[in-house]
Amino acid sequence: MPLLRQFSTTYIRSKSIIVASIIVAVLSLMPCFAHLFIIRVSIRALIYAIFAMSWDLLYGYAGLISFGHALFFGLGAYTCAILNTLFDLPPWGCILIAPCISTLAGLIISIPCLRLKEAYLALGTLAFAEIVRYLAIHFRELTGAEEGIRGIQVFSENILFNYYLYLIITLVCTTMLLLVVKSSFGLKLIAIREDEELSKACGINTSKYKISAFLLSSFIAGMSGGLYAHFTGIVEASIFSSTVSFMAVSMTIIGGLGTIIGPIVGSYLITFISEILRATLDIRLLVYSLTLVLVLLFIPEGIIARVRRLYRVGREK
Amino acid sequence: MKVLEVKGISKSFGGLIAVNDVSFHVLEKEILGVIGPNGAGKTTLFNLITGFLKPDRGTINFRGIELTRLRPHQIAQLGIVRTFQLVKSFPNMTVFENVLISSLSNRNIHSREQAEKKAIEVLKLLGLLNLKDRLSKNLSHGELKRLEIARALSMDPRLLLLDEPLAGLSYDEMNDILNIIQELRELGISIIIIEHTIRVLMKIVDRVIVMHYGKKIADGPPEEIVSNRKVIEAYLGE
Amino acid sequence: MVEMSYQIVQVMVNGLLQGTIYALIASGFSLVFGVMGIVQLSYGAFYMLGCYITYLSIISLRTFFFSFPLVAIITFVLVAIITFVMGLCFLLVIRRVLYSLNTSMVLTFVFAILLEELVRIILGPTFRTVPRFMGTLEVFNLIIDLQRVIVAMVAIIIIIGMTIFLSKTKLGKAIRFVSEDKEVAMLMGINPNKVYIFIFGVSTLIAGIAGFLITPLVAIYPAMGYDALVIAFMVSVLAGLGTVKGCLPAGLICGLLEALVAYFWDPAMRVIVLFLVVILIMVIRPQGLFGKKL
Repeated sequence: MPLLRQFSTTYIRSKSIIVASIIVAVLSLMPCFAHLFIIRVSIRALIYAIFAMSWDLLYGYAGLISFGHALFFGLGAYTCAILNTLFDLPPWGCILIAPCISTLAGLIISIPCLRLKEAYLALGTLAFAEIVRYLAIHFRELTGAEEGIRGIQVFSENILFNYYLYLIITLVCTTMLLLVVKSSFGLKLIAIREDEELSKACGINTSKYKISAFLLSSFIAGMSGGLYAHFTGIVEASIFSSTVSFMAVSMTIIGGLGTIIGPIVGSYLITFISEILRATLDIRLLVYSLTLVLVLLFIPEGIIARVRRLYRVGREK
Repeated sequence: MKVLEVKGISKSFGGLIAVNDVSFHVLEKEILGVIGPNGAGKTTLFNLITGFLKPDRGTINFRGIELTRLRPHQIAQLGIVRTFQLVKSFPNMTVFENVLISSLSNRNIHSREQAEKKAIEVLKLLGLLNLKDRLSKNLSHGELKRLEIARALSMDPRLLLLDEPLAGLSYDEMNDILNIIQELRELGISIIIIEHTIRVLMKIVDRVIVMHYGKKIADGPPEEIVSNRKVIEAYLGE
Repeated sequence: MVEMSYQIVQVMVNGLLQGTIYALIASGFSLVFGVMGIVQLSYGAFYMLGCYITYLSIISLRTFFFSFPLVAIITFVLVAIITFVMGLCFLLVIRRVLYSLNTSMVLTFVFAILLEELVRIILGPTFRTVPRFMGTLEVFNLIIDLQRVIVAMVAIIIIIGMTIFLSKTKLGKAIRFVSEDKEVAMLMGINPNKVYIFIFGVSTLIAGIAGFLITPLVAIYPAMGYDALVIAFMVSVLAGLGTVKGCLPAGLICGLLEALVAYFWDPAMRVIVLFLVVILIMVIRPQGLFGKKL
């Protein structure tokens, strides 16, 4: 079947729709009672949620492990930063172009990565991200070297506007990704993850699907990077670092791999913990890595999967 | 009519010659057996036909189409479907999903509804319908073997390559599979079977080729093969 | 013109000396992958630990006016014991996730971040240095840093020692059996778990010792573990993940390449060039220069 037609039919349970509606309602009404601080942190959580979701698509579904996902995030951020500060393009314009650049990078990287497996893929993608990080530091005129670019415009001075904008974008991305993974396309990605050789024997062009997964993932990651730039106003070369890549990894793993929703949960958890602790000591990184270690050792399947098991929601009857 | 024509196929790995100048053909509605001692190159031959390996020399022609240039998924979509020696499935997907994956790649299927219908049809044929929502990692060996055939069938195969479909099965299960294979022949599908349990195989095949150290040493009806001196030597000399 | 060629030779010599250290760093990483099949991403953290233990030890022992060689030996032993033991403790903790390559990669990497943060918080992020113990020598217009030479020699001795150990001794052969085929080794009466524990500890030990050796040469900082990990990975892949003796030529090549790129082109490009070489190797020849065919 042609690629695009495979997105047409998907299956979503009614129970999940109820839960989802409740969560969306909560998130929408939250700004009414919440402190400004919480709204700001929420926006950060939404940005990273989108980033983490894009990573989940690649690993949790297609089985492609990328330790250099910050590459796409950073490219999206830098594109917006440069277009906005150097060319005076308004945020709306930047955010449309940024994902295209990151997708291009996704295409370039996916091709050699077709031949890499597991550890090599993980570290190869890390290597790509590091290369770009060095390049970002190197091309001072364009990127402002280590200090980065400052003074990037936000979408609006009104924080509520920004919150709802980012919330809507997150919901759109989530819905889109859910439709993708529950479609025939998503099923084939899972097949490739389960057994690539068998997938080929079943008539699946694994290269085409792996590249497609990369393209979609890098698109979304690039968009989240652009959203980051237009919220924080600053991008530095450290945005390409492995620590940032690892945020996507840890948020997804804590929340639940292969769920799309999991990364959102993971993002909220980690972002809130980090931000609350930022006020006290700079032990954020310590706490978040400690959390991840504990989760990996004791709830390796992630929070969402554990919750699902408790309520016995699943494919097998 | 020749469905498959293999001419002069050779493949070596480093210094080891796995398949050495093998030629044979398969006719429409024919069941061809491939036997030979371990390491004779049988599975390598399957890998070459289905595109998982590229031959060093020779041609493989399926109904006029040259296969050696094609990639595995393209060959599968043409209707040349294989199973694996060590039975494979997608462990964390249900039985239904396992078959659905293949039917989605079926060249005659153009929508998800069609694919699902086909999957159900095939599961019914193989007696797996009651297991359709079970994760394939929870199936017994016999059920997995049937799943493999179901999977292959959902692609509307014209040529089926079965690699040791009877391995590890009980006597009854073997008979079930053999009956299914014969039904498939009636549907117009040509079948090549690699097997070790020769006695059982000889009951259903029309012709047998024997491989030894990568070469084809015999090609003929079962009765002939069983009394062929070279074949007996190959097995005894092992 | 003549001066230029001296400069080039100088650059190359320094590059080669640096390369021996790279080789040593890589050997432990490659070893643990070859025997246990895991990608130990906290390897760099143990290197960093080795550096800091060395620093703390030298700074505190010096106040007792011990003679320098004595201080060096005590520090060496201290580093060796601490990194080995910590390695074993670490293995105990991560045992349950070792079945999955991806999970163990993530877990070990997070531990590295954890360790780096702990060191950063407790000891501060500033660069620390240890006073030099040896001077430089000028030979044929070349400035040779004796300290580097000694470090390089020790590194080479350790690598050669490991290679001989693995190929000639009984324990070494047992280790090789286990990495080839666990079941056959068990049939021969070798307990693979004991080998795994030993090898894991040895790899963290090597990381620590590499840290010990480098501390007198550079300024140490908490994030250096990550940089070392990157080096370890790159050189190992070039050599072929799993081979120890291959690390020496691979390390030398990397050191040389890096020095030449820094000199002829741009210091910033050296890492990029190395990365590109490594990616190329992974795609074209994944078994590396000296590894077994995958």
